[in-house]
Amino acid sequence: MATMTQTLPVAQTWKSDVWSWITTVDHKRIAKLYLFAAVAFFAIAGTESMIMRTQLATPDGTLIDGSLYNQLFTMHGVSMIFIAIMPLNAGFFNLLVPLHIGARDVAFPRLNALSFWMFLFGAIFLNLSFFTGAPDGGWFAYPPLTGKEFSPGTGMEHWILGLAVLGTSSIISSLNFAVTIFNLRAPGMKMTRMPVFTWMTLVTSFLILFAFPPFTVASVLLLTDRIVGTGFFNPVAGGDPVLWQHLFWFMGHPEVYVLILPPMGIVSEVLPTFARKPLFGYTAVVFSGISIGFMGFAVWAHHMFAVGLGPIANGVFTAITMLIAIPTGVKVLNWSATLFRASIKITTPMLFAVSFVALFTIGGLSGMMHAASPVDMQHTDTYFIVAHLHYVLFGGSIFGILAGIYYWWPKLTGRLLNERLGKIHWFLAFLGFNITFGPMHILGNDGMPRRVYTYISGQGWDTWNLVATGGAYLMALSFLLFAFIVLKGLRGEKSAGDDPWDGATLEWATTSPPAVHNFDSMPVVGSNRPVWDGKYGGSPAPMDPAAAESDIHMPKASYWPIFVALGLAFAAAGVIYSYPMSAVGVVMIFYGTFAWTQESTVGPPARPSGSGAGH
Amino acid sequence: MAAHGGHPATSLGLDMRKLGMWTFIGSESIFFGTLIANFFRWRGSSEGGLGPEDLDINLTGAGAFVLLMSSLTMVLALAAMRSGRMKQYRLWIASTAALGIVFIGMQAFEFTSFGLEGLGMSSSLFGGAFFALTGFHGLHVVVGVIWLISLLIFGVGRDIKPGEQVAGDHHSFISAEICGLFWHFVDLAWVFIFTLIYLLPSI
Repeated sequence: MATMTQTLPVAQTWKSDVWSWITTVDHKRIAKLYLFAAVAFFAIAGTESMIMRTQLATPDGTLIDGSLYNQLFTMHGVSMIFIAIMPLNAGFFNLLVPLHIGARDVAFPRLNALSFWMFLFGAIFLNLSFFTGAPDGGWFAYPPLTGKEFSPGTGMEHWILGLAVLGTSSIISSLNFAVTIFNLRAPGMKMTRMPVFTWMTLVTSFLILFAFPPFTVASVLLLTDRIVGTGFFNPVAGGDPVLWQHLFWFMGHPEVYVLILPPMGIVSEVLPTFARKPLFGYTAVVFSGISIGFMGFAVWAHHMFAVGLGPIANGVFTAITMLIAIPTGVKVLNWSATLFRASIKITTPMLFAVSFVALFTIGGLSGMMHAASPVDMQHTDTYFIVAHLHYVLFGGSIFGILAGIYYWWPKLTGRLLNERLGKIHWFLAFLGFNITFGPMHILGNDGMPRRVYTYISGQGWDTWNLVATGGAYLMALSFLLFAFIVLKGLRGEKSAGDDPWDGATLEWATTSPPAVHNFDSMPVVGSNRPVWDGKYGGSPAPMDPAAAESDIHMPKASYWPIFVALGLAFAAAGVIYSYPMSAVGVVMIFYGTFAWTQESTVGPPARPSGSGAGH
Repeated sequence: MAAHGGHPATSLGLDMRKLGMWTFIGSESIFFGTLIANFFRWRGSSEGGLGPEDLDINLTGAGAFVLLMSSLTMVLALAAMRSGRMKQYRLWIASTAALGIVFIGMQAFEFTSFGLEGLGMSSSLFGGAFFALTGFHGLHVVVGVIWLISLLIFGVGRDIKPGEQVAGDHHSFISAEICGLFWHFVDLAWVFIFTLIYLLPSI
């Protein structure tokens, strides 16, 4: 193996290292960028929630005033949804989809880099609003509260333009993954053999592609209301605030499936691995995911039951909302059946995945309660809703994502995370989560409204608020421990090996971390668990070391994606600060796009890593 | 663009960029659908100013004809490239771009005359919805024209010899074809806008 040393980079300075990250088009490095940035924004949004919980710990809290509280709950919601959970999911799309389908990269590697940089700049732009007054009209930004009259600052402009940049990034990324999944599958990788996670990525991509354009239109119209003086959503000018609510929730409801379907995919990969048997009812799980995607477009008005749409609209949306519980229930039952009579291995990812099923089911059941519009009249704008949405988006999405981080960390870095500390993290997070959000059910039933910055004592809310805040601190502690575990993991716990969990899907058939070209030879797939087939019989093993290709060219690094993304950020920021800045941004977008089309995309040959990968 | 020499054929047998463009057009359809729906919400809110019945069908009818003809020239351009008639290809692309510019000119004239008669973005909700819809469509035509001209400037198809028969999956042909897909989409969107916004009130 003397030749191996020659492949090491010759003069790797920190400058060339940073430059190689800025210009990277490799889906695995972009995955790391997405995950790292999203965890940072998760920490910011989490800190916002800790300030709010501290304020609410006791009656008549004086830590912050109402105005700051409004900014915090708005930014907490927007951040967790658009710049924490969505990019965490995108990080997993990037890491896994090409590996799952046996591809060398995504369909459009430079567009993939563009999506990341747009997300990063959009997220920074959104957070910069804290210096001049952050948006404070809720993540749903209902006019006329968010019109110029009642939100005179620039906070709403940061909200509108930031989400426009983030939405563009998501649409481009969805287009990329839809084409990748349709078009870059390895021989034998039929659609019906794709891992469930990849299926959920495809469904999520279509949700974003079709749900975001109406939202883009709505935000542009709100922007013209604020800047040009139109009155689409201003009742004084004859406008219609309910139109905003329709357009917003037409994105807002599919959005919650954008947040939950990828973690459902993660759990569908983790459970079979540690239950040591195939996923029960693969086809049912995939098709229920697809039907959730379709139905997700027809339930948006259940967010608007209290608006007064009339009994027929409320009845129809109640019925469809209840209907969507069927495919969701199918998934939960299939996950449970996967665990039934299995020889389960208790690992950290498994603990998070099983908690996902339990907590998501609790959140789903409380969702069924306010799916009925008369019940929702009582629940709406109370802490019961806060409890519900955190059970599905934290107990659901975040627990699923944590399962994914522990499960795929070895593939991402080649090292394992500490299992013992990981289990302590799970225990603290699980306990802290339930102590925080469990009591909110009771608070909501006792009539405590959402989005209040303080409350007076003697209403029966004092105890449970204190308990919830205690739980929140426990959860914060668990995430500090998580940060410690990850930092420790970066510095080198024991080497993971290619297939530490005895996995079933293609990513476990290559090295950890995978070489830049992913696979030395094209995998040939015979079932939806190709790696188990190779190990335990069935179809032939997917990888044939003898067929290793020697002439693999990977796409070349490019700095045009970050250039174009910067142009878009300037164009957006200029609307607030100065129009010439927007003009510069638009010129940058066009110049960068032309240069993009003219550069050569084929890089130098990526050498197969030799016999080391063959085993 | 991961596809390059030696890469296996795509799973669906469709070119990557073409599939990407079709996916994008799917998303764009919803975008224009929402703008059209928004227009219908505000069609009756002209508040004493200019309303739907004041739209000039003669002018925009001519504009619609110009845009439809540009789709024809786009088809002719692609057909010329397929059979290696490169001079004609460039001529038809230039004609398509020119017709697009004529359309934008007519729209600019229409917008200006409306402005002189007092119809603006903020004069009434009808005006706002009208300009949002037709303005975004006009913006798409502008991007399309820039794209068409860039095909000529960057010499797409210069690797094709005169008289050479070009396969449907030829790289340069796809470059021109996805521009054509976008152009036809923008054209088709106008067919809907013209019918629903201009023709409907006069029936």
